[in-house]
Amino acid sequence: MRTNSATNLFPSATHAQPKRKMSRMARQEELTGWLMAGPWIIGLILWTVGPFVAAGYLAFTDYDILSRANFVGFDNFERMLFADPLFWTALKVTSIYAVVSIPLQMALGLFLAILLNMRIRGLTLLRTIYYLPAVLSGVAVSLLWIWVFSADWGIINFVLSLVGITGPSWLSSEKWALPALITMSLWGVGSGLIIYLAGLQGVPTELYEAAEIDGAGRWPKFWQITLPMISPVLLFQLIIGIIGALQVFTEGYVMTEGGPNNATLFFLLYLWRNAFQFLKMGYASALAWAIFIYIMALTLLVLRSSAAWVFYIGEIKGRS
Amino acid sequence: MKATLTRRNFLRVSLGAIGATALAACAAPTGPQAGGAQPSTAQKELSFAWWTGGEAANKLFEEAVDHFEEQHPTYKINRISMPGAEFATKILTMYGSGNAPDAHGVGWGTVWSWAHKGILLDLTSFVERDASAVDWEGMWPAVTGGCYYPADKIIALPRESFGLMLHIYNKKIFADAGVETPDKAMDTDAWTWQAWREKAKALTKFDANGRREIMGANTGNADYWDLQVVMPSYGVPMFNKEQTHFNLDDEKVVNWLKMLPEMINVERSLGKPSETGEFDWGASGKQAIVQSATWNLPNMKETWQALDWDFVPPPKGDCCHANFVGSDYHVVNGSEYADREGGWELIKFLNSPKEDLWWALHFFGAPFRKSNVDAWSRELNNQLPKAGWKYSLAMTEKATPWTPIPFQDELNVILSNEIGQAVSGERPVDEVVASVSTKLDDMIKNFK
Repeated sequence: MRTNSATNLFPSATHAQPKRKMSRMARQEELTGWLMAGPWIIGLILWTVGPFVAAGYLAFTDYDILSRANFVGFDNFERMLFADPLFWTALKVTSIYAVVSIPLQMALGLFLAILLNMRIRGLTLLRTIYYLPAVLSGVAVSLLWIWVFSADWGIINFVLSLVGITGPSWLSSEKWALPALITMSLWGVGSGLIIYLAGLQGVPTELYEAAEIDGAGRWPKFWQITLPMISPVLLFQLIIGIIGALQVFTEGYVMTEGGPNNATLFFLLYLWRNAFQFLKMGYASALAWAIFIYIMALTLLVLRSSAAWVFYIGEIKGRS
Repeated sequence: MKATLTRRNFLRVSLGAIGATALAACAAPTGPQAGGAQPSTAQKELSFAWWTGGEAANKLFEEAVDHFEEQHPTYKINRISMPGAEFATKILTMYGSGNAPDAHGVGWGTVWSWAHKGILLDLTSFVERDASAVDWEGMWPAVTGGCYYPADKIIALPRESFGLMLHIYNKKIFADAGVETPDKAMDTDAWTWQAWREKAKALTKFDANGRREIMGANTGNADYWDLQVVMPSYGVPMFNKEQTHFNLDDEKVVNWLKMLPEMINVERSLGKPSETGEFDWGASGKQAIVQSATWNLPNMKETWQALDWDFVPPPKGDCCHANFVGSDYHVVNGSEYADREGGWELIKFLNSPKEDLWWALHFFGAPFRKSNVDAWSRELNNQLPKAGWKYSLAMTEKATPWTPIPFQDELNVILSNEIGQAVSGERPVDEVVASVSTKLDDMIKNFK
C-alpha cells in the first residue's frame, strides 16, 4: 500500500522526452526566467565564482595586496600542514564546536518542533518567538550574550548562585569559553525548528493510526514512524549544520577574539586574521581552500552515509 | 527579421555585462566633491582620507581641511572619511588597486608596519627643504620618534598626540574614606604603584553581603597600551636593542603583573576588565581612581559633570613616572600616481603650530608642539578647572613614544590572547609570561 501511494505521489520524471520546438510563449517564459535569475547569476559569478577561482590561484602565491603576487608553489600548504600549530588548533576548536553543537541544535530543534506540533493555544505566537532569534544580527546577539555570560552580573551565574554554585568566568576561562559559545549556538534553533515542524506536519496521520491499532506506544511511534519519515529533513539540517558550524565566525570575533589562549580560535577567524590583519592573502587563500575541502569531504561523507539512514517516501530499497 | 534571444545569446550578453561591470569597477573612481562644488580649472584636486571617531571628531576634520582650503585656494580637497574600524583594511585595499588617496591618516599602531610595506612616501627631503616651516625640533621627541622608519627616514608627521595617560580621581570618595588624594603623594614623589595599590585597597567598599559598592581603581588588560606606561616606569625598555625580544619577562614587569590578580581576587580593589568594561563605575561615582587618557576628556566633560574630580600622571615605578604618547600620523602616498607635493603641503599645514593648538584645544589631546603646551593647559584649565594640568608639561616631556615595530598587529594578537588570563588569575603569571614570550620571540624571528 505504501508502495503504491508513494509511486502515485512522486511519479517518475526520468522518461526521455523527444525535443520539441518551443512555442513563442514558452520562449518568452524562458527569457523571463533568465532575466529574473540574471541578477543572481551575475552576483554568483562576480562575488562567488570569481573569488573562488582567484583564491585557488592566490593559494599558491605569497601575496599581501600591495605588491605583486609571487608564485610559491605548495609553500602555503606545506606551512599550513607542517609548520603552523595554529592551523591545527583552529581546525580542532572548530571541529569540537561542530561535533557538539550540531547534535545539540538538532535534538533541541526537533524536541521543540514536536512540542509545537501539538495542538496548543498560542502556537503561532510561540513559533514566532522561537524563530525571532534567527532574524537578529549576529553581532547584536553576541553583544547580548556577553552580558548573559558575565561572571559577575550575568543571568547564568545569577541562576547558578541561587542553587549555591559559583559560576565560572565563562568567556575569560580557557576551559569554559568554548562550551559557552556552544551553549549560545542553541539560541538559533528557531530556524531549524520551522523546517522540522514542516517535516513533522508532512508525516501521514494514518501511519500513527495504524501503529496505534497495533498497540504501539509513544516511543515506538517516534522511533519507527516519526524519525524515519522526517529523516530527509534531518539530513538537510545536518548538512546545513555542518556548513554553518564550520564557518562560525562572529561569536569568536566579537565575544572572545579567539581567546583565551586560542580556546575559541575558530577557523574562519584565523583565516580572517591572516587575510585582513596580517595581509597574508596567499596563506589565507590556502586556508580557505582547506576549510572548503574539509566541508566538502564531510558533506559527501554524510550524503554517502544517508543511504543507510535516510528514508524517502518515494523510494523502496532494492527497486529502481 | 525577428531576433529571438536564445539561451546562448543570453549568456553572451550576461557575460558581456559582467565584463563591462568588472572593468567599470576597476576604473579609478573620482573622489567625492565636498559640498558638491566643482573645482575651477586653476584648482588642483587632492584626495585626503581620515577615519571617523564619531560625528564631533569628523566635523573637526572637515573644519581642519576647510582651514587648508582657505589658506590654499589652488587646492580642492576630495574628502574621504571612513569608519575607524574599517580604515586600515580599506586604505590598504585602495593601495592594492592603485587608487589610494594622496594623503591620509595612519594609526599609531600601524604606521611602521605600513612603512615596512613600502607604501608611504619618504618625507625626509621635504622636511629638510621646509625645515623652518616644519620646525622639527619644536615637536616633542616622544612624538617625532614615531615618524622614523627605518631610523634614517621620516615617513610621517604627527597628527595629534592624544595618548597622555591620566589617573583621574574622585575627590568625594577620597574625602569620605579619609584617604589622602594622589596629588599630595605626587607632590612628595610618593605616587608609586605601591601607593596606588594601597589607596585602591583603602578606598574599596563592600556592603553587608560582600558586594562591592566602591571600586578602588582599574587597570586595562595589561595590553601593550598599559604596558607602555608601566614598563618605562621601571626603566625597562619595551624591546631589547635589536627589537628581537619583547621585555615582558623582565623581573620588575613580572612583579607588577603579579600584583594585579592579587588586587582583583584577594583585595578586590581592582575590577576585572569585563566588569569595568560593562559598567562605567567612574561616571557613576563608584570608582575612586580611573586610569584613562586625554582623548577621553571630551566624554568625561559630559559624563563626569556632576562629580568633583581631578587627575595626576600615572604612578611611578622604581625609575620614574612614565607616560605614553600614542600619536596618530599623517602620511603621503608614496605611489607614483599620487600628488606627492600636494599631499605634503596638506599634511605640513595640518601639522603647523597654529593648527596643532587648534586641534589640541578642540580634541583635548596634548599638542605635539612644545610651544603650545602652556597655552593648551591654560585654556583647558579654563574649560575644565583641574589642578592636574600643572603636570602636563612634565608629562609631555617625559612621555615615551609608542615603540616603533612593524609587527604591531601580530604582537597584539599574541599578547591579548593570553595576558588576560594572568591578570584575572586564571593562569599563573609566570606561565603566561613564558608562553607569550616564547610565541613572540618565534613570531619576531619569522616576521618578514
